[in-house]
Amino acid sequence: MADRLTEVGSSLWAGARRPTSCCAGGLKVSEDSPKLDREVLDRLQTGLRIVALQELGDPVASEEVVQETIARVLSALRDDRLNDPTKLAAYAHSVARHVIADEYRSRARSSNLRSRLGQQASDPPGALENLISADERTRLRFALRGVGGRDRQILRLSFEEGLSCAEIARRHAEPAARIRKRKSRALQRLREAFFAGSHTPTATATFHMGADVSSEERQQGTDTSDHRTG
Amino acid sequence: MSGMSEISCERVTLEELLERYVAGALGADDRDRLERHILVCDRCQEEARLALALRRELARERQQARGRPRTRWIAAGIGTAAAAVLLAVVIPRAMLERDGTEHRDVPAAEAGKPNPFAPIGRVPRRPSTFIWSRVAGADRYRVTVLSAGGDVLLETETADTALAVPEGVDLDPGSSFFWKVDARIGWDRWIKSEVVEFAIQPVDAAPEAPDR
Repeated sequence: MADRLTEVGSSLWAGARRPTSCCAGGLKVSEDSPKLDREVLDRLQTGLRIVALQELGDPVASEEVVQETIARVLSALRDDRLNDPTKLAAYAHSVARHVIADEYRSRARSSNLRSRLGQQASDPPGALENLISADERTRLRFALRGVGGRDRQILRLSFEEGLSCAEIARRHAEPAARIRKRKSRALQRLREAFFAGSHTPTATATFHMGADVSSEERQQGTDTSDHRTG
Repeated sequence: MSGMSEISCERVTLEELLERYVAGALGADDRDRLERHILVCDRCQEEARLALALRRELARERQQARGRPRTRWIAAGIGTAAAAVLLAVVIPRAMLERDGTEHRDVPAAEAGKPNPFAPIGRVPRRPSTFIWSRVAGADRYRVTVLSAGGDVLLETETADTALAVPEGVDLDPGSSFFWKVDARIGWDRWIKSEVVEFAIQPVDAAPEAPDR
């Protein structure tokens, strides 16, 4: 389904009037490189899938949101309604949010709101299948077993309750730097397992989630790469 | 919306935005900025995938952990259960049915669910406070307010059983809203209330001032 959409998207995009070279939110889109068109679409699709799954938690509805959004974006490009390609991301996001709102409206009102409220803490089975492979899930699961209870608690407070390292530190009466370091190390183990076998973002990453980098260190330009390999 | 400043990968990291995003703890503005960034950033897409997968695994583990003590109890108490079966065979049936009732455990969630008191139903003006019942043993309450379209308008925690509605929350007259309250009764143990609806009377429907 995604391939079909990408093919359609590529042809529509190719037919759209574009500047010779433009930057769409950091993405280079050039006239003479049709392959990049597919990259832009793939990236947009993955990003939209993340947004839709996070919001709806339902893989079927999320795919509908992704497809509908892409179709509207491509239509806007084809019709010259999206004249400034640098605003592609903002436009796509705005469309996606409208489509998500439509999705809510199309559901039976109160019953689905109730179910949504009940489902906020957990996803239905298979919710992330379109985004995360079975191998990635298995590797992450095994790696998580190797994370100690205390570090796991930090991860839980961070990823399930949304607490920052500083907030966790206050709650446990510990220095924030220690919490940050523990979280960074635990995440690094999980990251290595999760991305094993594919490209590893951390190999070239300057910044990444949970990096053991304080804002002070960043401002001072300190090399903290050794911290992240722990 | 297009006027909002965009964010960088560095800010995503330093402010732990992805963690807060998958936890549903980001405000609408930060959420929109992050989502726009995710649409065009490969690295943050990968990190977001990891964050979503991790949150999912943590939730799965937690659910399994809840079921584990029960499983252990069943395994460890199998001998006791066998003895109980034996007793049930030898004890006269009449004794079991003496009072005509059967004992059942009352689920904890049923025992002390928070009850939303106000606002409920049609209200004449923008409510200033949300009020609900106290739950024994609860140390925190989390209030969630949604628009009819499903947007989360407010999600905040308090130790009290009432919450003053912040000024910035869009509760427009003539619209319907849903809200609920969760009570925390232990480490990561929350009891949810029913979701209730309220509608604010339109401004033009308000009674007119008497003619002078």
